[in-house]
Amino acid sequence: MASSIISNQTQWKLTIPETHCYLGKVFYHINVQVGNVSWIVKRRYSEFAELNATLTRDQGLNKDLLPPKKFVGNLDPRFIDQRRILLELYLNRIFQLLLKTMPTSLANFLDLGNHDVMFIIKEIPRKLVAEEAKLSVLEVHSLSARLKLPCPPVDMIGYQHDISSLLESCSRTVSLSIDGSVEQRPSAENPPTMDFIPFKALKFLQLTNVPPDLIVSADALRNTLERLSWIDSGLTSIEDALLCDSVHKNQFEYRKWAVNDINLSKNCIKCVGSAVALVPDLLSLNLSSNQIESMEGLNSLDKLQKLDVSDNGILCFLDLGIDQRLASLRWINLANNRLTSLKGLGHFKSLNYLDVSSNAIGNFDEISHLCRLPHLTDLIMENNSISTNCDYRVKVLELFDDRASFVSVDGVPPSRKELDKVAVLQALRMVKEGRSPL
Amino acid sequence: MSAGPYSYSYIFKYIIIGDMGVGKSCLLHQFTEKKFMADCPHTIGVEFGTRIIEVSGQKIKLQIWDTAGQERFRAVTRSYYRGAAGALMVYDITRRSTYNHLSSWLSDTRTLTNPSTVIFLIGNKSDLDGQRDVTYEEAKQFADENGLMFVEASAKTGEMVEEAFLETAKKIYQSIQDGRLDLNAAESGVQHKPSQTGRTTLTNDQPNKDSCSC
Repeated sequence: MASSIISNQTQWKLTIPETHCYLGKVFYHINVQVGNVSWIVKRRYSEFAELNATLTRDQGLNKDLLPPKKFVGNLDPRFIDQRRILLELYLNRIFQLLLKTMPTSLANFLDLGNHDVMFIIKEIPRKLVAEEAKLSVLEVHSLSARLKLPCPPVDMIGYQHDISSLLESCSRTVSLSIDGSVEQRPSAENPPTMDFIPFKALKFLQLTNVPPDLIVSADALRNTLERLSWIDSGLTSIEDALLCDSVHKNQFEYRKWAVNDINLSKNCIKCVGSAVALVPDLLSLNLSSNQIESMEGLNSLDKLQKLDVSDNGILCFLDLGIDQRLASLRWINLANNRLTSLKGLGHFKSLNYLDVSSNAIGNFDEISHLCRLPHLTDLIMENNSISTNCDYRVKVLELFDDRASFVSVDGVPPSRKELDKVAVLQALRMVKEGRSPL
Repeated sequence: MSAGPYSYSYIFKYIIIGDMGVGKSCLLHQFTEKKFMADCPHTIGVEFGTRIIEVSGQKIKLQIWDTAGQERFRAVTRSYYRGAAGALMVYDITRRSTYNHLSSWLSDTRTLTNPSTVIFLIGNKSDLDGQRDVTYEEAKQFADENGLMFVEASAKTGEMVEEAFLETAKKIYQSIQDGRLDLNAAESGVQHKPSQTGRTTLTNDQPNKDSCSC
């Protein structure tokens, strides 16, 4: 969580509780506390001296405020401890003097750019210019926090920024990605909460490693967002995502999303419940790399075209509980599961792409569940135990009867030679069944 | 940069103020999006919207600050009055208390803005005439006595919303033409972009470190 000096002008504390010696260099650990947020900055004496030189030049400070240089014996612990105390005094004096002006050199020295709302947001406009803007959790948090803070008074020169143009950039941003994995774990008492109020036209949002409880309001996203990716964030259900900002996760009214593409891969979702009713226009759902056991709620999504449930450890497709009500489903990825059967997949009459690679399908009879699908053109079967069979492709194609020539297996359309073999096998089968092959 | 829908020659800063629940955010939304926002959440702190309009053949960009009506945000919202060229002061025609508080909103505005700031009084929710608690005449008299412009409007139907924002802009523009509003004054709330006809985006602008445009 970020703090702000402007709203804590008397609640700050600067201490240097300890020093560390590393490779013959002494680092003073400065503990900066502003309001209820504190952080540590490690600085060497030479950095203090550099700061002092800049402040002496630009702010007219007395250069003798800084404890003097020492050339010999400056690694003596007693000397270091004495200097620590003097530097702490120095820092407090100049901070008090320059609190309102806050020259860039002092702001940088205290790392305000990573901890104070007014300084964090200064970097944001530059980042929003990119085609796909990338911001950190702390930056989005600071934007949210900024709108709840007063504007810095005119005399607080170092804190000034062009808030109108910042908010305008936000309101024009179409695509935003927030990666929480690059930041340190948010503290439990002061989580860097976010709302998306300044983002009025956002269409594509990608959240990586962003725990859902950091989002206190998603209302700004509900009407504009077209694609939501929220991956690797420990979500345990779809409600976690779609009702991230509700305390009572049962307020389904008024909280619908216009989004039509959702990617919640790499989470811990077990069950797709009724919360999908909040995304009635969903066309594509990616739940790969979760722990899906049941998907009954999905049946209400009659517009759904694409479903990715690869890499979920699914044993039996039928047990997922989805059926022909998903009449628009055209694309299913079930790769990397533990399926032994294809039962239940014959319901989806619009299906034209099916990936069941890397499963445990060991019997050609399973293909019979698919061979009545009128639009199936792409079937990915590789890496199953039947695919090691020498005539595997021909045996699969043969089951599709007169549609065999339209079905591409493992991304390769049937060759003339394969189709000839298929024709022979089909004729033999018909004879066996006592019918005339012609 | 190409001349397009984003080119303009002036920027006017507006603020919208008034009690909680009078419909400030809905007025802004109706003006910028031409839609009514049902179930509008409370504004936390401030919100911001822009729209480019045309007055006397000049493109003008309105930067509109919508403030929280809740008392607890007063310190935040007061900091946004500074340098406003226009102030839209809103009450709810169906709740007299929101009308009764106008004098305190007005004195805040007078104290925190400059003398050339145009103050426009809006009686919102004119669609709810049946529940009216403040007559048009009474409010009109208050406006006249205090030299305010006044309309009754409805953020729900959109009635008179456009007019309120545009009339305010016309009045500001007039003040500029008459020389009553000094463009060079730090807190006029107006920025002139005389040589730039096609400013497509503010995104690339480095924030001006020496001035605060809020």
